[in-house]
Amino acid sequence: MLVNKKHKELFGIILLLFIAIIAVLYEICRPYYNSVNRVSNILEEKKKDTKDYHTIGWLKVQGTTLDLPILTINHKDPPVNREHFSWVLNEDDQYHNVMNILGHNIFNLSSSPKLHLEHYQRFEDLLSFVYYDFAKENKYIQLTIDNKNYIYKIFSVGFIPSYEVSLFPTGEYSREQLSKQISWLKDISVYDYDLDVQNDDHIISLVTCTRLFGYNDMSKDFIVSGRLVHSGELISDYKVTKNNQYKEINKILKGDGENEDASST
Amino acid sequence: MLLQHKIKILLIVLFVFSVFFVASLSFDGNSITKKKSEKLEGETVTTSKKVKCENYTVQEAEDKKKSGFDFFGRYGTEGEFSKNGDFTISISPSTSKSNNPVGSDFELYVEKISIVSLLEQNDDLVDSMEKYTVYNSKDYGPDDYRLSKKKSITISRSEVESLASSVTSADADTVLITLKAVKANSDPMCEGTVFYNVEVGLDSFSSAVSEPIEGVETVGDYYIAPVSIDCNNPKDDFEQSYCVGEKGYFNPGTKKTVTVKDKSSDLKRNGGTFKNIRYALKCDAHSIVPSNSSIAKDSASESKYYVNDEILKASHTTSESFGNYTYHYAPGLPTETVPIKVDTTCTETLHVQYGPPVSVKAGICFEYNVKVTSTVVCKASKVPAPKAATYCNPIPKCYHKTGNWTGANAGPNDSFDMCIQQCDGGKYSDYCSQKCYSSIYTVGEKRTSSILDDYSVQQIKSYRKDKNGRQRITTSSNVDKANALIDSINKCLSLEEKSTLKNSHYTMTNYPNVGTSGGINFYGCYYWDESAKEIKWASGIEGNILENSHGKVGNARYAPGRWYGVHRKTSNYAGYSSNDGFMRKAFSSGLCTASCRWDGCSQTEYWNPAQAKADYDENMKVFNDAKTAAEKASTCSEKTTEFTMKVTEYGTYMKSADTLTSKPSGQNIDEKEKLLGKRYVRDYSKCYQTSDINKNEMYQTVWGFPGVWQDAKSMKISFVQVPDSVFISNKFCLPLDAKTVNEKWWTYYYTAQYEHSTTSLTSQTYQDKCMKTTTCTNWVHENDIDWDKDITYNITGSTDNFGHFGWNLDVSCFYAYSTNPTTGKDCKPSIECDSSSGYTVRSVDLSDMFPSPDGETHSADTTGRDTGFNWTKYATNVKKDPNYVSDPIAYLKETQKNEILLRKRGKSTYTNEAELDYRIYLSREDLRNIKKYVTSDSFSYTDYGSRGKFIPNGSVLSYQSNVLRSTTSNGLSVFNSDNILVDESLLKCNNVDNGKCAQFVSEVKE
Repeated sequence: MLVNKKHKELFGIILLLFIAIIAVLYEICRPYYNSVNRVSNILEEKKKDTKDYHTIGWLKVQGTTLDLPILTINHKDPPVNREHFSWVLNEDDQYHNVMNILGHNIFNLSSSPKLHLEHYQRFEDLLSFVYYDFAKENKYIQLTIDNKNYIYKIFSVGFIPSYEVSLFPTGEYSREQLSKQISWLKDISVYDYDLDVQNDDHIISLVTCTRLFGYNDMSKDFIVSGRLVHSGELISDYKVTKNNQYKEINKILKGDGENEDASST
Repeated sequence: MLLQHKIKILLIVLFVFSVFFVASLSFDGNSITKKKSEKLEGETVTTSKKVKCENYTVQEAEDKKKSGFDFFGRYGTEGEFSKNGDFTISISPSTSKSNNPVGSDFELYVEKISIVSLLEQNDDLVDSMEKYTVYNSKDYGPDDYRLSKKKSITISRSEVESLASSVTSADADTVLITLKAVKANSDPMCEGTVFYNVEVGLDSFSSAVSEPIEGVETVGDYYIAPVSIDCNNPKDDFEQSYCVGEKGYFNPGTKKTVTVKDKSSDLKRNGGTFKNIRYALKCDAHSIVPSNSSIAKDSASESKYYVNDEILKASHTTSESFGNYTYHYAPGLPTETVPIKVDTTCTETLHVQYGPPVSVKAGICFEYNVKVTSTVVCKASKVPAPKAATYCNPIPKCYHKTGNWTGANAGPNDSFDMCIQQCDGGKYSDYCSQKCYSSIYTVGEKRTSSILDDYSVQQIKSYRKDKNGRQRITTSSNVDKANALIDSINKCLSLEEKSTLKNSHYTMTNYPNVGTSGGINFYGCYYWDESAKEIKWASGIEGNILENSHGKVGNARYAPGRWYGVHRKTSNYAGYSSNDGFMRKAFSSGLCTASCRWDGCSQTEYWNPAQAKADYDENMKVFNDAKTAAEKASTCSEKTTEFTMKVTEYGTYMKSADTLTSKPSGQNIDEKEKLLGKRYVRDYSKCYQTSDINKNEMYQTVWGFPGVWQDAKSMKISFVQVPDSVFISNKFCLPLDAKTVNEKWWTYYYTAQYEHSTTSLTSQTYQDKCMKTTTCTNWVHENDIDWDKDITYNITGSTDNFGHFGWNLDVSCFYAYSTNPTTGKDCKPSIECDSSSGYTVRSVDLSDMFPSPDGETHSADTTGRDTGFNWTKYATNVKKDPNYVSDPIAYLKETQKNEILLRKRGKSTYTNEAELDYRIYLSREDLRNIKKYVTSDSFSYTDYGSRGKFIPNGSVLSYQSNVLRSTTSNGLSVFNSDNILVDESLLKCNNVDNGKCAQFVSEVKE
């Protein structure tokens, strides 16, 4: 009888230990982000295409309401009053080493952006990344195009002069252009991501409008950029910290920096 | 163990404490490295306080002192503090001949200045030794501070403070200034070198305040310093003004050293005018100038009379605004208004010259004159010219290189933003975002018009209506500001239409079909949008339809920014110009939508040429007006100047009821004749333009007594016209019953006259003028007078509001009158050397009654030399007594003429019974006595002074001839008085008051 009791105890301990190990392993190994299938969504959306609006892919951003089609538009001015879409700066419908995707922001322009409101049908929710807590928890972008899912790890979140977007090359970037773009995106970021980004990595940038710096400063766009997950790389969490450029953002978010004249020309 | 542990802990604690202690001390350097107090150890020396004359023994000096002789006073050393603490020393070495005068060329210099304390003090003795402790001293050379009668020296407060600064002893309280003679043996009473000390309290240098002169405001600082002026090269405005004023009085090529008092600080403190400030000037009471040095009209005589001389100067800068320049740099920018300021600096040099004290007798008339010359040099700074009509073309700066056809604008449009601004002031709240979205963004275009409907007032005012549409001018929600901006832009555009730029054009070479041949006129205005904080472009006209290789691109509704036209860019910038003025490249699918802005011009430059030119033209008008006005400001100004000359006891005279008003243009100075009878002002205070290139201002006046009325017979003086009186112009005449005043000085004057006379006592000129008597004992010398107490300044010449800055001057001097004898047996030769101060009886040649000293033959009508009053026209009286007409000029003419020509008059006077007053019968004995009398040493033909006596009797003066009344040694009369016959019936009364003739006759008979 005594022997059995001892065995039982031992077994219990080993079992618990095993469960713990499994749990830990699970936590370590489970993917940080699970990609979703959006090919069918694309096909559905394509049914609405016109000569001016042409669906080429799908965009999903972890933690946000951004889960919408990507179009090419034969129109100088993508309509604000059309909901649930984004557009790419390229003229074709191909995947390129740099994908620059734009979307309108109408309802989340203020200096204290809200998160995940129901009527955010465009890129309003992209502004969630302006909060550090959110940025800590959400690090992945999914692009679906040509029936393939491309997963990107976010490495840059920042504010840029609007005109810079009009300077973005279109189509496939040359090596030099790519290297310059990656370098620049790292520089403008308000966070430092513990992530290895090579000068020839494929990247994606999501851009939208903001009035975070005040009514009279309409010259800034908000940009979130990611680099393509490397072959064999785990979809896992990685560290992100605020850097010095975040101080100004923090002030504005707290209401100290709200200043209609905040922009510097 | 425990004990060892405790000891270790204690040692550690002590060590740590020591470390901290040392460390704390090392931060407090003073407590460790504090130096020993640097007290200067005084060096004890002995030196003399009073004058040291090396070859006098102490006993001799004491004896001298006891006899009342003030050795120290021989040098007349005085010291005075100015308000800023500088100390000025002056000397007046005694020139009195009575006790070996020092001489006016005696010079001293400051040998040493020491900071001392007095240890031992002796009585005031010559050559007494004093003991001091000297803490610091400095030696000087003979040329550093050199003193003479004419030159004082000023030791600056800073010099003394610098010496005293290193002295820490509280005992040091005296500044010792050692003066030493430049030359040895320069004082005849001292053999060797004179030196002595002047002691001044050290405190006085820091707290000196000059004593105010009673009755006169003296404010501000002044300096007295010798200035050497070369009028060939005047160094500054003062020298220039001085030279202009002195032209004609000294050769401009001569270098002259003058002493100047600068009153600029008084002027500045008083707001640029001397109103309420008066300057008092006193004549030098030591001056002895013979009273026959009358005012002449040439510079040589004047320089002899004007022994007192002061030069005052003042400079003042005024700033005046002569309008404004206006700069409208661009619509939307604030208009800059710049006042046109011109500084004018005027320097006025006032040269005040005035006469010496006067010694007079009752009935004597004298002049006293003051001459003031002012020259003014005014220089105005240049009127600044307006900014040139240059302009800047803002440069387009676009952030796009290759051209991207699609717009990247991922945000709301302007209407939405404006809606938000109105809704929540630009906060983009959720509520307002939703509301504005609903109102602005709907499906379809028809809602677009509602944008205008809803915000029509706002938006229309922000737009400027062009010919073919509207251009958004500003995002400002301030309606008034937006309106004002649009008005301003429209005004600018209207100027551009008229400007020459209209005729300039550029060709867009890639667009051959451009309407008219050659090119298109494009214009517009750059302006400032305050709400967007940007330079923007407002197009003026509609352009033409443009094409490129792809066909029509669109309507060039707006003219591109001027920059493009000026720079004539071709294909690179050919394209479609949008309403913001930027040329955008056309692509197959649209235009470049790059973000652009205008840059490169500051907000204090013009951005539009037509406006620059319009402003410049207007500002040049203002400039020319300002120049004219500024030039006028520095020319003569009208003045009302008052002149007064008064004698204290006899009241104020010549006050301003008839003051003269000067006028800007000068007048001929010969017009002085107009002034006689009312006042005596030789030239009056008018403003002249000098003849030098700059035509500076000049004022000049000489003024004196207006004159007195004198009764022709009694010579009584009055200050108003009375019947039978004659006006004696330019003089004041002392009444016959005048009180004596300044008697001591009067005697000093005559003492000095005699002692300083350059005329030899044996010269004929002296003999002619003066009569010999015996030695006079009542001499007065310089040291016998208390120059402060014994002088009453009873003549004051004043001027108010003279010259450019309106100087107010009070020139004080005095006359002296005494009845002390200057002639007669108790005195030395009479010093009545001019005809106006006494009476002379002479025997005359009737053909030439008043011969000139050089013996020239004169016509019967004139006299060769000045005559006494009774032979002048002023003694003319043709009204009083028809039986006795006093007309000396007529009588003189008749006598001399007839003697020469007709032999009817002349000596016939003596035979005309009607002319005789006396008849004397001479016996032989009489003749013998006369001969003996006139050949004696006590009497000679030319000995005018002792021929008789003048005895005043009220207003009458009687003359008693010594010849008739003298007695021989045995007491008998020269003449037998019985032989003197006075025919009473023949006796007439000359110049006698009415009713007194009988009295006079009886006196004559006695």
